[in-house]
Amino acid sequence: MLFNSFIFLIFGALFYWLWPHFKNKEERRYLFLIIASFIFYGWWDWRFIFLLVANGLLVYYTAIAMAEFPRFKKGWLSLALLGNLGCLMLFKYLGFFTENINSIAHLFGLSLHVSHLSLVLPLGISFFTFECLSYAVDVYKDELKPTRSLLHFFAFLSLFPHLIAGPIIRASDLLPQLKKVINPTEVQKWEGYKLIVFGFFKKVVIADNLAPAVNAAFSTPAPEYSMLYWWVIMLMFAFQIFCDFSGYSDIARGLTKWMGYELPVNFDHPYVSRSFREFWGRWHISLSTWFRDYVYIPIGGSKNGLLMGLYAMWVTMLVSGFWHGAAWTFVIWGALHALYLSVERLTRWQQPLEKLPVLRHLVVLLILIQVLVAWVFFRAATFTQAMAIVGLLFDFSHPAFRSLHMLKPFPLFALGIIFLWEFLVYIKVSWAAKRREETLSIGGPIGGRFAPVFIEAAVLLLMIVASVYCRGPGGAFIYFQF
Amino acid sequence: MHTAQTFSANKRIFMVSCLAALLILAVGALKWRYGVEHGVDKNMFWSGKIFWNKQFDVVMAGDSRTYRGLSPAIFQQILGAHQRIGNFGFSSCGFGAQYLSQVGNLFDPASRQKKLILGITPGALTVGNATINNGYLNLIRQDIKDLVIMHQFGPLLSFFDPLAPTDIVSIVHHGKTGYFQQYHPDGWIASAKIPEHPDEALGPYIATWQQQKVSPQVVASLLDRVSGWTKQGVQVFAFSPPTSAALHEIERRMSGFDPEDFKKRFEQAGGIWLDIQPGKYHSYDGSHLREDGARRLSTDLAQAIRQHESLAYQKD
Repeated sequence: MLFNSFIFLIFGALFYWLWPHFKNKEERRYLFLIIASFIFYGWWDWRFIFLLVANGLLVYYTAIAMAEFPRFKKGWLSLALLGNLGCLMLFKYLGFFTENINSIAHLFGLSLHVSHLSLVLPLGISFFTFECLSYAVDVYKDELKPTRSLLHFFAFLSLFPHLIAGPIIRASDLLPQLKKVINPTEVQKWEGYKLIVFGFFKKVVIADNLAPAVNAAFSTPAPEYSMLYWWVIMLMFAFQIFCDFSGYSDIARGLTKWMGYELPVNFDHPYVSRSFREFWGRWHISLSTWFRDYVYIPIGGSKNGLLMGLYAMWVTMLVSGFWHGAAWTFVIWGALHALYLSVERLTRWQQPLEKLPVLRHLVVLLILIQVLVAWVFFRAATFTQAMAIVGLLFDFSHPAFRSLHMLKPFPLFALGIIFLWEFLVYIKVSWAAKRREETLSIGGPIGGRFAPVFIEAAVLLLMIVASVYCRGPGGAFIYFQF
Repeated sequence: MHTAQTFSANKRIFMVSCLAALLILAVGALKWRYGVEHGVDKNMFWSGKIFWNKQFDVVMAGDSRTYRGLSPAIFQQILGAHQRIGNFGFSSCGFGAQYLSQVGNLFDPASRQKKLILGITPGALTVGNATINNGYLNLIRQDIKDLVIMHQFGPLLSFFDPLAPTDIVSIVHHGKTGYFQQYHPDGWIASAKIPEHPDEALGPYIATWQQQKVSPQVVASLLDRVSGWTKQGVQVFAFSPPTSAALHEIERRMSGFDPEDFKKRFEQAGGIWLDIQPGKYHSYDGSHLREDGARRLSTDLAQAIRQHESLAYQKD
């Protein structure tokens, strides 16, 4: 079920009403979490539960086998990886592979034709597969002792707030928390509430109001509109996907805070980044750290020199692109970021600009422009469409204001709100950096000493009312398709 | 965001939530007080149509020009109070296979005088509206659980509907302006707009007809169905819902629809074409009839059908 749905309101109310009665005894706690999570997940399609259970059982038992029979550790790990990745390949990439086999055969004039097959994509498969994989690998590396309680394991894997679209949680973070009886602190309750409200606001008011304008722009296979129009659309998409995804993560974090558990921050204002390295430390943090720990570092990371480091980085980014979707446009998106990171690593082009007061701010703008160009490939339906749009983004020959009248006021207003919000964050970051303050977690522009409680409460009040009466046309979260 | 050291989160959450709830109720009350939508709740209206089944003697089918243009109650006054009549029109509803199958399912098998009234618009004969941009298909593609919730909790969902800019205008003007819609349980939406914009529909329709044309396959498939229904004893009537002269001209030039050819083929398939005087009925946006225009059209069409029945009876 969607967080932004009437049925989730009922589900959530029931869950938190019953939670205090079930949380105090370990096995009962796990069972309650599992049943609730299965109801949440199965509400879309009950058949998906079997895949989750199958993947989970495979990893649970192979992990125990690794501990019990360490001589065959590699074999058990291979089995776990094969099973989970195999399922992911089957459900997510089968259609892509058959299509490409046919294209290659056609290119070489072969008469081979593989029937185009594709299966219904189970929700959240990419996310829970990665959690299963990290569990198996951590046990293999002796960084984690496998849990001997099936219920404990499934409570971790299926925990409903993060099941569909992350954050991707490491077992070493969540399993110990689930073991304890935790009463949420006053701070956790308030922070959780703020996260839930802010998450809903970002999703239903900002992202859902930006979506129609973006969808309309991308609905034409051969787009024609002006340069400025496309820059506005790409800004809209950048904030649509940011608000959609970070909104979901915020809601997930808020819901788990109310249980007394902590999930990691998944988005940290990525569009105020001064480098691509920083961008990837702020965007989908749980995924990028997963790729760092389970792809980049095992390949060799930056330990074996610059060239090997670049090689590891390219492989990681291409795989990351491919993870996002079974299409070459996603791979190109990953490749573009790899290119940006490579250029950055080799030239360190920002450094001279950072030293000058005004040009320092230009760096953020230049990073954002490159990110927007990459987003074109992420959003476009085809390579041809993407290239056409990129061409228009830099087409100075057409009047810049042509087609702007196609943009409706409300999406522009939504863009204005989130842009202003992030701009205030940027000012706060710059101000804090100037005063050499720690800015590991920026929070919002009204955080810290800037916000008396009553202002915070007033902002939350307006956000709640806006989430009801200013919400856009409803839609599933973008990352559900991954 | 700011975090205090010691405080009661429950109290704070409770206060913010209560204030928000009060504000939400206040806005909802304003919407309800100065709202421009009346009658059956719109969620129940649309989801209710999906659950119609084998219950009518007379069925009306088509797109928004049909569900805004034809009043079953007026037809009932003229054709007979015992007649069970339903308007099965939907937004952008083209005459695709799935929709037409359901239209056929709406008749009570025991009914002795089944009548089908089709609102033939060029839009309803495009592939896009027959298969993709189809209000009926969009509804039935929704999860059945969501449809049930729409049907059971319609008024509650409507109370919390987002504020459209027109809602805000309506509230500011104390309900004297806006898009007025009265939802009738028989499937008709009586509509009016204040202020009116007689050319409002022209731009979108020009854009539509630049992208697509009337499909010969959709036309052939519809006429096939007409033939089948006629053989099953259903009297199939059709008419061209009236629009403004400007929109009529745009559709004549751009849509690829040949009304004369269609009428001829429709009658060959066994259908009965109902001619109307286009300039007689008032449209508020160039495409859809204002309530008084819809009532007049319904009266004229119902009388034409009754006249046809009288003539047929005399012949027999």
